[in-house]
Amino acid sequence: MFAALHIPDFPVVAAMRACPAMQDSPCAVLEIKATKDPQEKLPLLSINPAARAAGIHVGWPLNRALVRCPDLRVLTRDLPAEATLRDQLVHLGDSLTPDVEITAEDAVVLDLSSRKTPDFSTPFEVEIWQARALTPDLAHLAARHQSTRGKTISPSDLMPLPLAILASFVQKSGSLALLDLWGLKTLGDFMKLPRQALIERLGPEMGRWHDLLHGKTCRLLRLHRPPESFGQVFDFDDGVISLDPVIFALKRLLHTLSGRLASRHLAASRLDFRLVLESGAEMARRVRLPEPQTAVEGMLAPLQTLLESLRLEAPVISLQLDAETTFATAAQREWFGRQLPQPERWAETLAKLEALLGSGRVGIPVPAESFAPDTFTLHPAAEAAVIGKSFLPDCPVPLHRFRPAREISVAYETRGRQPWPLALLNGPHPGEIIARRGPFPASGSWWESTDAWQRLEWDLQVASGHLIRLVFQTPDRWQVEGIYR
Amino acid sequence: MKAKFSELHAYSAFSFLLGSSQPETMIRRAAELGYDSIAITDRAGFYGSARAHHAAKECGIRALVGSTLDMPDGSYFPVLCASRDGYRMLSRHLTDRHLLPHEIHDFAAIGSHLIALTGDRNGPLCKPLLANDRPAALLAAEHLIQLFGHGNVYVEIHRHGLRDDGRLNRQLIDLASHLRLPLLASNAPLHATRSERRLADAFACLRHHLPLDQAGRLLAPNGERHLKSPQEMSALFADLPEAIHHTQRLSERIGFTLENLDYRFPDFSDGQGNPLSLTEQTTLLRRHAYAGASRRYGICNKKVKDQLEHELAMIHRLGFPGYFLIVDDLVEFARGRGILCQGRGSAANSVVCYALGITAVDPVGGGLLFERFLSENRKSWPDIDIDFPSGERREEVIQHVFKKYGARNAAMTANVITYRPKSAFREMSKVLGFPPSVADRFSTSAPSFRDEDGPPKDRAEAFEERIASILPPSHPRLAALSHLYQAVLGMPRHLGQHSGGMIVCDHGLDAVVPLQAATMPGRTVVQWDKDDCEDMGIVKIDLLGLGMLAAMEHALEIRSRRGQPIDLATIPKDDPAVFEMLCRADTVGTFQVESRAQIATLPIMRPQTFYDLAIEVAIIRPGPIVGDLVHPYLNRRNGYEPIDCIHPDCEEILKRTLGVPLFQEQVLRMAMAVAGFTGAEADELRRAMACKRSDERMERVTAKLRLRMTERAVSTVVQEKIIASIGSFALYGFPESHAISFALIAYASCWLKVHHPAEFYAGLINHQPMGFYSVNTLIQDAKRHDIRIKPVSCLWSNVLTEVENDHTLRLGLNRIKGLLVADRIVSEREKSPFTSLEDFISRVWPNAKEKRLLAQAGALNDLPRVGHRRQALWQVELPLRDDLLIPSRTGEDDHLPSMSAAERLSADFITQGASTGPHPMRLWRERSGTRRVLRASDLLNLPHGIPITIAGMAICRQRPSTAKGHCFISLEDETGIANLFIPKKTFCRLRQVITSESFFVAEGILQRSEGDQPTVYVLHLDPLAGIEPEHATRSHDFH
Repeated sequence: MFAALHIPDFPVVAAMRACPAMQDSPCAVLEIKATKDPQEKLPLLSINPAARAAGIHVGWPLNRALVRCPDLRVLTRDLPAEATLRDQLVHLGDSLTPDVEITAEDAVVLDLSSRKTPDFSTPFEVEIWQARALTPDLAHLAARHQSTRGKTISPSDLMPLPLAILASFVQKSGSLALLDLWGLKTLGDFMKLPRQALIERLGPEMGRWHDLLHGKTCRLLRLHRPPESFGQVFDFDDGVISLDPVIFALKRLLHTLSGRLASRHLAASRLDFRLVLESGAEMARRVRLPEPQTAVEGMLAPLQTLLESLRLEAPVISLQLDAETTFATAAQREWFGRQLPQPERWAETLAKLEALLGSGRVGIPVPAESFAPDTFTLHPAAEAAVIGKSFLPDCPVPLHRFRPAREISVAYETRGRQPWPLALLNGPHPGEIIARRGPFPASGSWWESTDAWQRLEWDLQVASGHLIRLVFQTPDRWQVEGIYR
Repeated sequence: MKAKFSELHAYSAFSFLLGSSQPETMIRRAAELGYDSIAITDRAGFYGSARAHHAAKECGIRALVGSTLDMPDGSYFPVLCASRDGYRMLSRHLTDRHLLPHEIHDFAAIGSHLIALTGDRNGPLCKPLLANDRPAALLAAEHLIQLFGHGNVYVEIHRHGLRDDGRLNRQLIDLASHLRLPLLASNAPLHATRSERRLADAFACLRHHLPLDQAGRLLAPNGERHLKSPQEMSALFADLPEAIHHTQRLSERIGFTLENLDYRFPDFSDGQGNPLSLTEQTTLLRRHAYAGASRRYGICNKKVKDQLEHELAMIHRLGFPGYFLIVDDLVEFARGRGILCQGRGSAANSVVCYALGITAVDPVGGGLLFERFLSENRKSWPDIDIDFPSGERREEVIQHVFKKYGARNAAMTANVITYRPKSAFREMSKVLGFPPSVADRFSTSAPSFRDEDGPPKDRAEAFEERIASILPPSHPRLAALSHLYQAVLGMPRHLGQHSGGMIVCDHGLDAVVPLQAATMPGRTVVQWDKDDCEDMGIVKIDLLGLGMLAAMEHALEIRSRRGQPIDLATIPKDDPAVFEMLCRADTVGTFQVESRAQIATLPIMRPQTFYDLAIEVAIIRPGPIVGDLVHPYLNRRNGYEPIDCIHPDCEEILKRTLGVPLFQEQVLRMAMAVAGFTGAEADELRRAMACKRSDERMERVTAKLRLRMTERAVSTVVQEKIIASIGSFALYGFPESHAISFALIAYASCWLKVHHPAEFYAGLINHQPMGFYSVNTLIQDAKRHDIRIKPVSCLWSNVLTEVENDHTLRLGLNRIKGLLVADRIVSEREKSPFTSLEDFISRVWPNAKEKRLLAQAGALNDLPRVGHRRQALWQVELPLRDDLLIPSRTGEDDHLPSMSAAERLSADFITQGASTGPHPMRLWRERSGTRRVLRASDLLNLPHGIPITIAGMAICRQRPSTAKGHCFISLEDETGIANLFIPKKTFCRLRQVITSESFFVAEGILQRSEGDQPTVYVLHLDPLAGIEPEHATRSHDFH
């Protein structure tokens, strides 16, 4: 015997959990699909009972639904909420039997052959329909319709059910469309067709459906097994204030991790570790390993470097470690390719730098594809081994940039509609301007209401002989951006 | 001293997706800044040159001609035409590049006719210099010198305020000095003013298929690439005065502008291809005209002879006999091939055109004004538009012209496709990174009529109204979107081809304007649109396609096949049955008088003569409606209002239209009579009215008209009336002769509908899409005229819909959408009849989709052992075994239920878009059993003012700009068509229902207006419950 659990109107139910006040309002979720035809109207994917009561049906275009029900609330499909709800449904199934199959997004099938019929009256946050049958597929179909829910059904009970219910099984919609063209309205209409003639016309898949509906086949469930996690937690009895116990605990966790990785022929490509402090605060770091590792030393070194650089506000009460895994490197080293001879040392160096500079501040800077001043992007140091493109600077003389640029006062006059600097009144090198190039106007991001920028730049020589880059920004802001060396 | 500078390297928006200002804007800005001349050097063509030339003439400066040429390495540089020969060379060169894109084209013997500039940072010199490759730059410069000659290459210097400008320019100066080339200052502007830089950035994104956020260095670093004043340029190049000076010297050296375009319409040639002299052409034209007049009139009376002589003399004086002979030759070619054709437009005012058979209206009998067509005051060529049956027959004529004059001597005129609200929003929102769904919602939101045509302020308000429901006003990018949307509206997007305008030349059209391949194979298109061509004095012949002519030709052909040929020229023009039908407004499917507005007007107008029909054709036009002229005419005609001819001088002019100016000739003659306009001034007025793209031109003429009327002491009231009537004609004015030409076709189509409805409907159905109504509505109308329409059958149908007898049609296999084996079905059936479904499938080999389509449409039902559509659907799924023996099927095949009437209807609409079965409303009425809801025919017998409820299928929704926000719906049911009037307020309340639904139930008050036509004044409207939306046919919507 099999039982199926199904959450009706799953997408809209999941989306509505975020806004319980709308429970009684008609609500709908629109289908999300990448369409090339800009004229194609997105149909309603799911509606709640209130919307159904207003005469709306799933599959209708939105404008048609709005004509029937102007109060219809269109909700955005909430995929994370759907995942949470699905997890809860699976959890419910797990609590009833260990043999659970996730048959569809909104349904699970339970194998009850080895145990008594469980109690389905467990309270659940949303409405759940359940049905039982001798095969998993019959149970699944029965649980999807209001008239058969809560029942133990035989194939003949399914006959009045609408044919569209098969859509939850079928990957290709073409077959169902053809059955619709044939005028078949119910599962019974389909079941009455001669099996051999069906197979001759539409292929063996139709025969499988036919057998399935007649309860002639009983497949094995594809049992749900939760994904394996390498996450470990080490709780300290007392708050730790020195590094050694943490390193010691970390080593233990890494030994365990290493063993588990080795037994699965995997390697760690990234380590996530988190320290929970007595104050309740948490400190998390992520270390990407330059090469997939299983060796404890290889994994410990960068973590230890990071830990040594930490200055914490409170004692550590717990240590958590998790790893992202990949297959261990099986590639042969290239003869002519330059590779890191000791990747672990490189990782350690990067970890030291990151400890010094802060998270996310280590990498290879590359000039950004933008005219905005002093912009660059940081390529991860562990990944961007080769930057193929060469960059020619606009000005060949090296500029010592001030970051941030220094605000100064400038004596200037207005020529045309532009300011014309005459002397720097303060700043690092005040004095009269004796030579200048510019102005070099630049502007960009004009489409952003807040980030639009516009500036005038000059290269100046002041009386002291220094070469300076001066910037003017509206309305009256002068900055020294740097000094040419 | 006043600074002198000429910009010789400027782009306009016709360098598609590069420049962001219209050529006219560039020229006007240049004039404002004090330029003497400017060269618009658009990419790969002279696209914007004609417009620039026209604008420059108005501004009193010179528009120099040039184009930017692409090099194989992706660089490009401008080339200027120094002389007419240079223009010809470059035009031919551009044509070669467009027509033979895979070949390498070089110039030969350029002399000093073309001048090359080295271009901007994308030029052949700057590109290698920016990559620090000086030898490559030197080679490129030497290549240019080799191509154009040493004295004809200038090294361009730009200062756009970039850091590396100095380094680049130093290298360019070194190179110029090494090769002894002159320097030339330029700003290479992409837009007229600094603010247009934003659109240029957006275009850069579209060019590279990137949003602004990702475009990075593909965008402009600053807004400096705009037209700068000579003073600014002089200051910028103060250290290089010779670079500024050279611009002036070079512009003075260039003597050529489009003023010197040497276009000549071809002379008519004798049988051996030798062109005839003007006198010979006139003699030949006279011979043809008199021969034709004898055929038309029998014995020519004095009036006809006098008119012929008058016209022939003027044609000779103006040098146009060749033009008439060439058009005559085209018409003769069409006649020889049995292709129906008829001239329209002002040509119908000419007795010579009538005699030659170009037009079908007798201008002498009709008292039409020849001067409207041709006068000595007019500088431009006569305009003869000829209608041909649309489709293959017209293509035959077009290909004949290409063949006769040669591929490089004939081309279609272009049609500049511009950004309209939907495309503007879609592309600009994409550039700004909005998801496509925002553009979808904008497209489906109700447009405002101020979107395009109104002044900028109105357009901005309309945009704000429309966007309010889509984006919140606080959206950070809304301001940018609004700016870009407004800026791009009306900008050229790409070049299409005009529907029928052809230009010909006998000495190389490719030397007059560059040609390029059209999207249709076998056609070429010039780079100018019809207005540009007219401005440049290039003669256009319009070979237009008219669906109704094709339908009528097909109807006549069916009639001939059935052994009862008809000659349309001989049908009586005063058939009472035709006028009775017109008075009944039973005109669905006919030409010009079938629209909802025409149907509403016909019972009021009650046409009794052919001229009444011409007025009916002219009266329902946006022009007269804007001018509030429909009701005055009808009121006067029905005696409700006294006749007022505005001014005593207009009495003679307006008498025939009861004092209401309905035709363009009347407006022109009023201007001549009341304001004392000369013929040339009247022609200027006509051109202003015809030129849709310039409000300014119209404003200038109107001001002149007002001034002249004031001078002649015409009262202000009369002035206002005359100005108002001219304003209303500005967009859609009809010449009287044109109305009469159309009325001829309208009359013929009505006559066919009255006397030969089977052929008439067959012709219409076979030439869809055309006209106002869907095939389903035509079928319903045919049924109401006792025509039986048989469904598609693979045993009985031909490819096209055919007439079986005077009261029966058989739909053709081409009605099934997506069926590609129609020809094979007919050819196999001709070999031997199909004996079974297996036989059919084994001989025709339709694919799986086609088999289902045929079965679903019921086209297989007539085969043995196929009882109904579902049975056919079941049987066609059985794969055919390729056995030696003819396959045979045994066993029980009736497993599926037959389709209900509603299912059959759905299947018909899905497969054919129309059904021969019952109207969906009849099925709905049977199902619902309600008697509360009235039918269209019930309205005919009900009195004015009673509340009613009516339901039906919307076949037409209209909310014309002239209707002040009110909406009209034609609601079809099994008995006919009912007219609904939805007041503005109700429309606003029910907009969603009206625009989204196909079937309505409407509650309202029955009104009987003039002509006793019932109209439902709608108070409320709901979607009709219990009906399948897929039973709806295509609706003709304009809202």
